[in-house]
Amino acid sequence: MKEISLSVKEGEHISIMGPSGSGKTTFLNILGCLDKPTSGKYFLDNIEVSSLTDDELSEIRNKKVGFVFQTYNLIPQLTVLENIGLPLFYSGFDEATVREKSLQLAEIVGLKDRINHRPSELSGGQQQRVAIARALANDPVIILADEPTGNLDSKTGEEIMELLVSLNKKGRTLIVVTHDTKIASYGKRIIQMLDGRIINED
Amino acid sequence: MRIDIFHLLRILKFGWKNLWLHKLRSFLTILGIVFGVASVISMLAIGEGASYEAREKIKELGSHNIIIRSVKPPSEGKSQQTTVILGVYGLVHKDLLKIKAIPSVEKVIPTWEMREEIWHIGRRVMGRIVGTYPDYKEVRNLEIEDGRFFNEVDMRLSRSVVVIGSSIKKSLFPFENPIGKTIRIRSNYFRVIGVVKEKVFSSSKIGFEAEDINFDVYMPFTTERVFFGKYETLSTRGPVFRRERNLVEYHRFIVRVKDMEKILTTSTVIEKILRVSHKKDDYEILVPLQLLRQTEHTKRIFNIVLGSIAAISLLVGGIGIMNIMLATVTERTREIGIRRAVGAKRKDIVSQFLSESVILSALGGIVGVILGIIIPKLVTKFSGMTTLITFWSVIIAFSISVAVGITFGIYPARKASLLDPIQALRYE
Repeated sequence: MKEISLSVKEGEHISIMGPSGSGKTTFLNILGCLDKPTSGKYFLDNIEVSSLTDDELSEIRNKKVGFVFQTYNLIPQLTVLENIGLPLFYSGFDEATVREKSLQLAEIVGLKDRINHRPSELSGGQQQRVAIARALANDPVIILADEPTGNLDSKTGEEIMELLVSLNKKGRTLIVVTHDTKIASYGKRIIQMLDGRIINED
Repeated sequence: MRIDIFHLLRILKFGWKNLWLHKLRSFLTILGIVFGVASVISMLAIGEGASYEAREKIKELGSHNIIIRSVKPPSEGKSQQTTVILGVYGLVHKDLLKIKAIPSVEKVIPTWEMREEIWHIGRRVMGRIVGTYPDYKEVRNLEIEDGRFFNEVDMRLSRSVVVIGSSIKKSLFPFENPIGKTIRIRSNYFRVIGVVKEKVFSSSKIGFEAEDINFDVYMPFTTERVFFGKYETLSTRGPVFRRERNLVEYHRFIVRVKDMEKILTTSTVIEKILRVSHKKDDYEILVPLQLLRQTEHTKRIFNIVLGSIAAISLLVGGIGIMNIMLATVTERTREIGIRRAVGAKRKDIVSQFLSESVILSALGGIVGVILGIIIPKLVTKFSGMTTLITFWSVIIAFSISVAVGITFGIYPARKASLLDPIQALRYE
């Protein structure tokens, strides 16, 4: 990635597009504090991230970032409720609080009747809902979605996008990486990437 | 990391859940630790039991004593044709006088012994008749359960009185008080005047003392001489039936030494004196104190050997745990990536995987302790060996198993925590 300069305001909904290998996932990883830029600076919620230690980065991922992945990335041996509560567990909440908050989140994504199921017992759309609930757990400032509808049929994909958009309307910053123009069109700002550069922004 | 009970419990609960998902694998993994811990405890119990027996035996012989025994030298005769041999061997009255003259010797108690059937009306038991002096009771630490030991007067008058061991009492007088009753040996009758308290009999042969003294019948030395004389009769059954008659003046001297420190030097002096007058090797000297030291030395070696065997098996068990944990880490790379993405710190990952190996080893430790307590009991039941489970061996074995879990769990756990989250998330 080269010469990227981008500022995102709170509450924005941005779509990042580009062919595979264009660096969009790497960009998203940096935004999500999973990766550090080799040079340059990144401010998240007024914190300069590139100088932080591994533990501090973990804490930021825990508190300020919510990830939604193409492959859902749920832990198969945990139940729906436990998967949703995972970030809360790492924040150090006690068991009762974790359970209570997880239940609320399950309700928001419409999975209250599935809390004791394992991910393998759910459909793709339901699994992605669990992942979204998990992303919301610690009330993050930013939600990063990497091809959130990539493994879903178009109808379910739309439902998931509507869920994400509704969250954005409630004031959460949302950044979606996709190569699907239909999905990208949900965003208010679309950024085109190629070979690690931003080539178009509107 | 937040060290609170809830957090720790969740980590342990999750670790347990993961292990439970792979029951067979977890079970096989802990077997190494189970056998390691069980072998530490049971081997120590057997070793401890053996040395306990030895110590008891030596205590019974008396640590202030030197025991000299007559030994029949290998017969030189043409045994094929001869059916009756008449020989002379063993300790004689001159030896007694010479040993008594050694300044460090407090007293010498001689005995004459024979194996014979002992009768009471219709009952019969095989026992050892010991003709000796009243002081025998004191030098051998015999305790009287009922009645009394014979005394100087009984000696002087060669009274037909006996003191019987507890097993003799059980066999001949199961339902009655033996005091005042008579027993028959060959065609002679003796009155029972005392019963010796039961002594723990150990099967292990320490030195040459393998007799169960609960089957002893004690009588005044003079009485023994009057009724049975100095000749012992030995019958051997084999290809040729042989009967030997040997003249033996004394079977045993129990030498009580005044000062414990002089025991070894006194035994050397006795050895020299006896060597002069005995051409044949027809005596044996036993120093219980020396045996005690030997036993302690043997025990130490025994413990070192057992310890190393046990350590090796625990090491193998630990390697087994490490092996499985490394496989688990690889298998769950993706999960590690997810956890890191949602905010798990390196320490969280370390504690998660470490907890699994500690659970494995602690579980192995618990099962091992149970097995280690059962095995010695079975050994005692089926072989009659004394075993002694010490509290410390259990504590040490269990702590080592947990320590093994931590030691061999650290590397896989650290490896897991150092995975790059992005690569881990991409791992298929």
